[in-house]
Amino acid sequence: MLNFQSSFYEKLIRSLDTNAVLMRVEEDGRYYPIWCSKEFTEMMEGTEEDFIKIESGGSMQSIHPDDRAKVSYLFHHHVTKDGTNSLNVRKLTMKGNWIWVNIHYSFIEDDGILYAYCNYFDITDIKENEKRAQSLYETARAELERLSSDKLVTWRFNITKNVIESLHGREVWLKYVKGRKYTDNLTYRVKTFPLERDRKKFLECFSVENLLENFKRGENTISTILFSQRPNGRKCFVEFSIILSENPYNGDIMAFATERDYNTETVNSILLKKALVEQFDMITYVVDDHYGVVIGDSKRITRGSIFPKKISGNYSEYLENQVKPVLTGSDEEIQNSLEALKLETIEKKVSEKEPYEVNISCYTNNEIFYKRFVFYVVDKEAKFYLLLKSDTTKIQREQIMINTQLKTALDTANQASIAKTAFLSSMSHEIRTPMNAIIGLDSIALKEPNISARTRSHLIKIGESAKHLLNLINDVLEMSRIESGRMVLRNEEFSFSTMLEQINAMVSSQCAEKGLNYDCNIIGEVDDYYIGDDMKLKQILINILSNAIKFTSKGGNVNFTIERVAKFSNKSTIRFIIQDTGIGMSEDFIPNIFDVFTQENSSASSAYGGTGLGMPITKNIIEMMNGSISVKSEKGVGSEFTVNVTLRNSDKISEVKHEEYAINLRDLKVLIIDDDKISCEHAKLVLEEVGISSDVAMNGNEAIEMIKLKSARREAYDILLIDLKMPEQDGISVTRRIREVSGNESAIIILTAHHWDDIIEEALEAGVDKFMAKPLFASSILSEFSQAIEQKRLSAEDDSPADLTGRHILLAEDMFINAEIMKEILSMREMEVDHGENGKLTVELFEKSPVGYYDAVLMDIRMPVMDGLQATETIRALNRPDAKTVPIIAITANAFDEDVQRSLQAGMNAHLSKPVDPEKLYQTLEEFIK
Amino acid sequence: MLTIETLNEFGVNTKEGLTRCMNNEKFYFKMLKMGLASDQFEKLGAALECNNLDEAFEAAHALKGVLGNLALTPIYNPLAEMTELLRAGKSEDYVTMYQPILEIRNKLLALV
Repeated sequence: MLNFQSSFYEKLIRSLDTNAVLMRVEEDGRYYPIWCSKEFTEMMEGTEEDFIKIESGGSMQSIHPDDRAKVSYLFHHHVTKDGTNSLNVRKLTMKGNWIWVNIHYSFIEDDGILYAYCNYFDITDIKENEKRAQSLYETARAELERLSSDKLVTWRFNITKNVIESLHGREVWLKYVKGRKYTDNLTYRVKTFPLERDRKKFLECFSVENLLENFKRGENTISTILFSQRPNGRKCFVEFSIILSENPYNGDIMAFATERDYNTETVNSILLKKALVEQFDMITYVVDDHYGVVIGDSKRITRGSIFPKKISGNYSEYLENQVKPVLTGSDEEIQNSLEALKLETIEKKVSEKEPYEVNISCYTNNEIFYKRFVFYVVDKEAKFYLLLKSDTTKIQREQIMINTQLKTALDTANQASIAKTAFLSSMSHEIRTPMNAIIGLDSIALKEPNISARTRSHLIKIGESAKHLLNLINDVLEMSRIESGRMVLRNEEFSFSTMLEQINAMVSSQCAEKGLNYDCNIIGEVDDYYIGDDMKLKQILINILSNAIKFTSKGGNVNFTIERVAKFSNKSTIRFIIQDTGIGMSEDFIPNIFDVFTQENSSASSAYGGTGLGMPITKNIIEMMNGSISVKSEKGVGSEFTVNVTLRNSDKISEVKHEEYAINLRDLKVLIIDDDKISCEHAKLVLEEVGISSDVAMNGNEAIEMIKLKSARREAYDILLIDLKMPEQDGISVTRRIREVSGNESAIIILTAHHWDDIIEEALEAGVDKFMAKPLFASSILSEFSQAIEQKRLSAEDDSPADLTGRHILLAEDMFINAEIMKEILSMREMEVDHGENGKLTVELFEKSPVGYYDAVLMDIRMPVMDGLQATETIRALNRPDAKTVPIIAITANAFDEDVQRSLQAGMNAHLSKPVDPEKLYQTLEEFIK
Repeated sequence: MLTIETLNEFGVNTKEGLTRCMNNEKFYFKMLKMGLASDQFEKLGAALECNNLDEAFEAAHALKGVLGNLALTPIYNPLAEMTELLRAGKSEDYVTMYQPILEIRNKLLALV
């Protein structure tokens, strides 16, 4: 028997300042405490003797009943069930308190006796904490699993034991993996990633070694994005994450793994990021004067960068240190830029209108760069803003370049255009004025009877050259009018047949002169009236026809065909075909004929003449009319021009045959008003060439007197040709005065060497009907005059004449025969006539008549007792309302201008000369009675 | 016998005269006869004989109107010429000038 008290072992144990108990263990597992330390008795709240007594024989009275089996097993096997030598058990103190203790057992055999040395640790506090941790752990696990329910797959692995504890999810590869090895599953799962890159990544991240290493380092969460193929074959990005945790029950390392679809995020984040990066070199949030770069890579911006040096920092400092120093422009511009970027400004502006944009220019790297800051609100109340910064240098530079180029081009064009207009305007006058003199004097010189044949030939050539030069000037002006958009098409009703007749009259005479056969045909039906610009239409048709004549030699044919090819609700398309058997053109040349100054054979221009602008002008006018022109031609065979023009239909149907309107040239009464003697003489000559006689007035006043007289004679001028530039009164003021004095009875044509676009409105308002270029040409007079007169007649048509039936006429006539004839004439229109044989009797008749009884007085001038002038003055002086208004018309053999003037002065309205033409008398009465 | 044809032979513009008389031939002839028979011819002759130019002008002017109305051109034309000379107060050998006018008038009047 061991004398324990004296033994070395006892001494050794007693010397240890520990919380321990020494026991003797029987073979049957019963144990007897033989010694316990002071610390132990303190823990157990009792004495050594008490403890030894209670514990002797292995009563296990102080051990919690639930823990007794573990302890019993240990004392029988000298080792725990888990194969360790320590146990956590609950012990009852002498005072009856339960405490948690950890006991470490060492079994020692000495001298045939088995001792158990038990080392105690009070772990009550630890246990309490652990209990709390346990419940937290359980809650967290439940939560994680719940959260993971919307995941593709969730697992729970025990890493320590290398076993899968649970697995749920929508997309699992093997359902019954619970209890299998984690490492096997790893090997199996890795095959489901199609990319080698991701297989490698998966194994690296989630190998047992790596997980444990991470856990050791305190990194509990491992997550990675992988490209995966799902069990159903779908490919998608997944986020594979594992949360590591130690199982507090057994210290096992647990892994909670989730796998979720990451496609949307991948697209959202990666693609959005990429898209943004393309547009913005920086995306930053700004809050409370603090910025943080969300997207942006300073490396991307190679030059001119103002990318913040720090990924996050103070916004004002950034402005101050990185933006302000590089801003460029005037002091004011710099100040404005800084002001615009200030936090307060951003706050104000962005709440007014989103996005708020600021464009700045920076001078860095010796170049100007343009930056654009765009601000958005993320949270207004939090004053949390988003800033998108982009570099607009490239765009700005391109824009600036384009703007500069455009501006330069525009300036140049404007200057050129102004210069051209000014040049053309002055050229038109400067050249046309002397041309006027040349052509005028030339034609006057040709009238000289005593010139030699040689001189005559020279004079003719001078005239032709001058006319050619003038044509050229006119064409150039016309072209410039078209090009500058100053040419405006009229939209007026016109007589289509009259237009064709005028064309035919001109073209057929030219053809006859040259020995060509001319034929004009209308296929089908065309209306009498259309709405459009007949002058321009005529111009283009005559131009093409003139070319046809020019390029066809004697004996050839020129055909003009007109056809209405379509009629819509309010429009008609008319096709004009002009065919000739002339020299034709090669196919190569056809596309060029509408270019300016082209003639196929340049030597041909000398043979055929022409300005080279005719076809371009023609084409331009047709295009302005939205029409088309095409050409077919064969060299040596002929040419065919087709013009299609769409005109508006007119409701007007030809009621009156326009033959009635046709001008009888010999009857035309024309007054030329021009201060320049040569011009007057030339105009008179040209008019005589076409059979029109004319009067001449050298100034406005003279003209007005002449017009008054003619008007009183009821022989008003049909046409007044008025020069625009006259020293005292210009043509337009003269026109205005003429309209005041004699009304609207004459057509007024302004003659000018200027181009008239600038004054046309004023002129039309003053009463001008038409403009003609100086000098006059016989060829254009016919068409221009007839047009002017027709226009006048059309506008006067509405004035319906008064009915003469039953009108009372007072006739003063001393000659019985004249009176009889006059009565006969008047009775033909059923007028009633009272006859006074002299002025006095006539006045008496008027005085006796009721007011308004006489509709007109026809007054002879030379009468015995009282002449017509006196009688008129007397009537006009009578104190009755009709005295001033009754029309008094002189009918007299006194036909001189002075006589007419005297009549007018006496108060007569008109002055007809004997013998009176009945029709003229009727017309006069109709007009005045109305 | 005074007919359109004979008048035409004399150079009378019967067409114009008839037009003025509304193509009423009877009326025209009536007026014609009156016109040719007018005593203004005698008045004019007498005034010219006495060299009373004012009176001569009055008569000439009155005749001119009538002759013009009747389109008695062969008498009208020289008479109109004379009227203007008288109006201008020019001294001419009016008696000699009037002789052929009166002759034609008398010839025509003989036909009436």
